[in-house]
Amino acid sequence: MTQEARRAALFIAPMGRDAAILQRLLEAVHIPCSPCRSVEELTSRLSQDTTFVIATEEVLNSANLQAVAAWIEAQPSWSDLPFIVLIGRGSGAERNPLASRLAAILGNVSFLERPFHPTTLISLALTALRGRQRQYEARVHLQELEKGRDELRESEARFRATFENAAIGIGHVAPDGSWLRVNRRLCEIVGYSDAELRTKTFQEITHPDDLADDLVHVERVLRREINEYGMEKRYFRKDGSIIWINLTVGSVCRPDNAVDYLVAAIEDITTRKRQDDQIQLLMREVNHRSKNMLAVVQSIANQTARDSSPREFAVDFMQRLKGLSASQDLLIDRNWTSVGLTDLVQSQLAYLGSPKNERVRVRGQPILVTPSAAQGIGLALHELATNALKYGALSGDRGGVMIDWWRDGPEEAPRFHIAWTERGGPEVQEPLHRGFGRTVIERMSAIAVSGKVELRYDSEGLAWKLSAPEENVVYRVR
Amino acid sequence: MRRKILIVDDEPMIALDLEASLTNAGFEVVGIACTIKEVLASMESAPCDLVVLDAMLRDQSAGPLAKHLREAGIAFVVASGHSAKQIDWLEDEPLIQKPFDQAQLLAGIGQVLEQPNK
Repeated sequence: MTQEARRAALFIAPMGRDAAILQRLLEAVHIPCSPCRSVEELTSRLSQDTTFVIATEEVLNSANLQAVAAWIEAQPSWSDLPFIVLIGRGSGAERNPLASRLAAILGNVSFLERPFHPTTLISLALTALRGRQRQYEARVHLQELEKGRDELRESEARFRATFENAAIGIGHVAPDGSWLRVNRRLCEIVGYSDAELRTKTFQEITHPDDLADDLVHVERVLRREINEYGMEKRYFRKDGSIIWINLTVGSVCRPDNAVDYLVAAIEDITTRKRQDDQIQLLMREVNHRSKNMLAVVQSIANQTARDSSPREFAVDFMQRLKGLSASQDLLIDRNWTSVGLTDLVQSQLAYLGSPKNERVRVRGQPILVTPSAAQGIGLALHELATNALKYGALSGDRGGVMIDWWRDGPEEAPRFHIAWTERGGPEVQEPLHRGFGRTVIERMSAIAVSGKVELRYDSEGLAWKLSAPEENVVYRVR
Repeated sequence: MRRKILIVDDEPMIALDLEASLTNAGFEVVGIACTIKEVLASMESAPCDLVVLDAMLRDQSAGPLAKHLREAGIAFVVASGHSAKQIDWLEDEPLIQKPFDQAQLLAGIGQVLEQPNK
């Protein structure tokens, strides 16, 4: 049964044939209606689907109307149920105190004097019905409004939750810079409570060096030249510490097109900034190291050029760069802190190749040496090996090299020694020419470790020994 | 009389090359030092007119040494792979960029040696 079909008028006319006549009249104009035998029955059947009520004065006056009055009182705001009361001749409300009491109780009431012309009743009934239908329409309207309001409330709650729980800081800022609304994340970022922050302006917590730029942007937004902007800047937290933030600002306008407030989205980028700084530092360090290395390469080129013929230069220079490069590889392996001496010796001898490198005997405790010692010793070993291949114990089919390192001296000031001793090769004479190779062997390695070099051209073979305070050579984990 | 120069650089290879270049250019190199300790020892035993100072010595700033040289009235030029901006202790001393430009090096040294009060 549809709501429309349930709607019906109720009437009480217990006297004589009144009920039958009323029913016939209403049905003749297709007004659904239903008779009640008593006020009690009427009261129990009253509902929002009741279109109107027709009752006789006598019935109403002789009954207890408290329940009816309560029902009328309790009607929703859109509802004002129409009553048509049939009264005796000459008993209109102005002269009849009972009628005026009924008018007060029933509210929306029309009195119809008996005997009445059927047309009069029908026109009153139709008017009441039309009025009631307008009330039903108003109800639909009200329900729609209420539904809209609920949706609005839900939507507002959703937006509030989004604002409050957003993972980035959000603030609404008045054109003068004061914080109007701020979310939890923003409070965490700047260290102020919601209430504290709303007594401040963004200018007050912005680092003075970044404020001018920010204000220029804000001015442009307020003049409506731009709709939004973004920048990285610094805030002072409540505890006085400085943080970096990424700021993105949009604007909300009033109907007159002036900016109502700014919407600022704020992201804490302090960690990223700190990492950027570290990368910058590292890049500067890499730049410095590479320039230094280029200067070393330049020095090797200069010195090689001083005593190599143009024909030999390329090979000699390349060999020395390879020696330098081998030491670098080892340094990188240990994060530029140290090099294993055994690894260093092996890497410098590798270019001798088999079987010549099998004629070199290496003996020493495994120790780590500092980067500068590694470079000095490495380049010296390289030059010694080159020299041995050209003129010394590795130049012919016989002869060999012993490499030894050891420590001695008092415990409080130990000394480190490394020796290269050639035996069994061709007879040796001290060369007349003191070239770069000799400078490296004799002086460079000594300077690198602030030590001393002994170089002897014994007839049975060349003997080289580098000695230095152990602390200048050996890497100690600090 | 040949002007005396002390070379301070923690890369012996560079120091030896500088020594050869400066000797060829007519200077007398009185020593090579890699550490602050060696610099002080060398200045005791062999006085010099000018120091070629590497801005970083074994990962330490040469700033304190520069201050010492200024106080002792010893002229110096600074050599570094860093830019002038990155050497916070640098005053009006010439900065020679690494890798070296021989002409720039000699010009810097000449400029410092010509200053009357140094």
